[in-house]
Amino acid sequence: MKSRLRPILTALGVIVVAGAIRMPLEQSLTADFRKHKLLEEPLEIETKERIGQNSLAIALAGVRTLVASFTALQVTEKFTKALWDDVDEHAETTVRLSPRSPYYWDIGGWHIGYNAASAYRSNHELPKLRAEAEARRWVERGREFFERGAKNNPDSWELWAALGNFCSNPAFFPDDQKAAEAFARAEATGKAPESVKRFRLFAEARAGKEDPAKLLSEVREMLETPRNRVPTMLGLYYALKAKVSPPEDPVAAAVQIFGSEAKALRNLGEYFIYGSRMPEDGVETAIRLLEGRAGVPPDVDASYIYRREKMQELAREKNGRR
Amino acid sequence: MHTFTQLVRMKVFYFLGIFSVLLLASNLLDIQGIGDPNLQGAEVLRSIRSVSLGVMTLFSVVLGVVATALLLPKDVEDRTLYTILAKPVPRLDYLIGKLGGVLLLIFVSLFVMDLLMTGVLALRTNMVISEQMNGIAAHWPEDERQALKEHILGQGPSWSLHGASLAVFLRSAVIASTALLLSTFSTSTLFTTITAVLVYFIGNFQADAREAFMATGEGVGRLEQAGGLALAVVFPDFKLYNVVDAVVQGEAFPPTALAALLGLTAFYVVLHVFASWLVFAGKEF
Repeated sequence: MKSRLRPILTALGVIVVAGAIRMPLEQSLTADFRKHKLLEEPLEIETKERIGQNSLAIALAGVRTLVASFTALQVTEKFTKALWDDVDEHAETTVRLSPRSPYYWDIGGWHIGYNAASAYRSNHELPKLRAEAEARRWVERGREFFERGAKNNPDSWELWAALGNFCSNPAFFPDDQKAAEAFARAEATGKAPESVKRFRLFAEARAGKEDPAKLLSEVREMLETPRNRVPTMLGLYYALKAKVSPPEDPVAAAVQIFGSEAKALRNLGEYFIYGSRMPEDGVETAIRLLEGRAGVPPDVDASYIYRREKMQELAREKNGRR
Repeated sequence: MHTFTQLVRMKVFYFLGIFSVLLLASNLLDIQGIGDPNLQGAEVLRSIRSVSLGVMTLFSVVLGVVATALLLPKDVEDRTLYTILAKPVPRLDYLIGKLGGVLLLIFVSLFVMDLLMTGVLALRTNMVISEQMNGIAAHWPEDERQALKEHILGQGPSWSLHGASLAVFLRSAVIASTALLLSTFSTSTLFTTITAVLVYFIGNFQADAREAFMATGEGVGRLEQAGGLALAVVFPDFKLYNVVDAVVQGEAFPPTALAALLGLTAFYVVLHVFASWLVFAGKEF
C-alpha cells in the first residue's frame, strides 16, 4: 500500500513545490493583464448571485462574454414584456460580465433611461404624480447607468455622447451642465465626429454658465466649416451675437447670417419654437420684424410667435390639469 | 501520430467537430439579430467573435479532457499498452506521445475553426461595411464615413483574434496535461473526466484563492488563507486564459502577453507530464 501511494505523494509534492514557485509569477501576470485591460476584475458576490450557479460556472469557465451575449438577449425579451425591473437586472448583469462592451451599456441605458421612464410616464393606470415620480426614478437610474458605462469605457466617444444626449433631452429632466461635460469628454477622445462639438456648444449655451463672448467665438469658428451651418447653429449664433451686442437692425443682422429673409424667418422661427432652453436674445424681435415684412398676420398659424404662444398655453393647461 | 489517428477514428469527435464547425459556419447567416433587433453594424461582428471563440473554448476543453481521459484506459483495454511497454520504449516517451497526439488533434481542429472564423468574419465585415456605407452613413461627411469603416474593420479579423485562438489552444493543453496526470492514478475514465472538469472549474477560481491567501487586510481568516494557499499551489490558474474575453471586446492582444502565456503553459505542461511520469513509471500492469 505504502509503495503504491509513494509515487502519488511524490508527484503531489513536486506539484506543491512548483506551485509555490509559480504563485508569485501568476500573481504578477494577473496584475499585468489587469493593468492592460486583458483581464477583468473578479466578479462581485452580488453579480455571482444574479447570474445563478449554472451560468456562473460557465461564465468563469472562460466564456464570460458568451454568457453576456445570452443575458443581453434576456434584456430584450424582458423589454418586449415591459418588465422593467427584470430589464434593469439583466442589463446590470450583462455589463458586469462584459463591462468593456460599450454596446451593452448603450442599449441598457436606452432601455432603462428612455424606455422604462417613458413607459411609466404614459402609464394611465398610475396616478399622474406617481407616474412622474417613477419616470424620474428611472431617468436617474438610466443616467447613472450611462455614466458608469462611460467611466468604464473612457475611450468610447459613443458612450460619452450617449450620456450627453440623454442629459440634454428635454423630456427626461435635463441637466445641461452635465451634458456639456459629457460631450466635452466625448470630444477629448479625439474620435468623435464634429456633430458632438456642436452638441457640446448647444449644451453649454443652454446651461448658460459659459461666457457668451467665448461661446460666440467658438460658434463663429465652427460656422467656417460649411457642414456646421445647420439651422440650430445659425440660430444660436444669432442669439449669442445679439446677447453680446444687440444689433441696430435685427433684419439686416439676420440676413447676414442666414442669407435671405425667408430663410432667416424659417430658421429663427423653428429655433424659437423647438430650440428648447436655448438662448433667445433678440430672436423674438427679429421674428416679429421678419413676419411683418413677409406679411404674416400675428394671429394665424403661419406666425411663429402665435404658434409658440399656443404651445405655451397648451403646456400650462396640461400642467394645470395635473 | 498513432494517438492522433486513433482519436480521429473515434466517432464522438466527428460529432463534436461537425457540431462546432456548423455552429461557426452559421455565423455566415444573418441570425445575430434574432432576439436582439438592436444589434447592428460592428456589434454583429463582436457577437460573431464572442460566439466563435466561445464554441472553440468549449470544444477544446471537452476534447482535451475526454480524449486524454480515454487514452490510457483504452490502451489497457485493447492490451496495446502491454505490447508497447514490452518494447524498450521509455514510459516518459509513451506519455509524451499520448499527450502530443491529443494536443495535435486539438491544434488541428482549432486551426480549422480559426480559419473558418476568420473567413466568416472577413465576409461579414465586408457585408456590414457595405450595409452601413449605403445605409446610415450614406450622407455622412467622408472623414466620418472613413472613421466608421475603420471602427467596423477593427471588429473584423485581426492578429489579436488569432492570438486569442492560440490562447484557447494553450488553455486546452493545460487541461489535457492535467487529465493525463489524473489518468495515471485514476481507476476509471469517468473518474478522470469528472475530476478533470472539477479541476478546470476550480482552476478558474484559483486566482481568487491566491488573492485570499495574499490578502493582508481584515476579513480573511487564517483558515481561509491556508485554504487559499492549498488551492493556489495545487491547481493551475485557468483565469489567466480569459484574455480571450478581452479580445472579443476589442482589446489588442500584445505579443508579450501571448509569450508570457506560452511560457506559463509550457511550465504547466512540463510539470504535469513530469508528475505523470513519477506516478506512471512505477506502475505495474
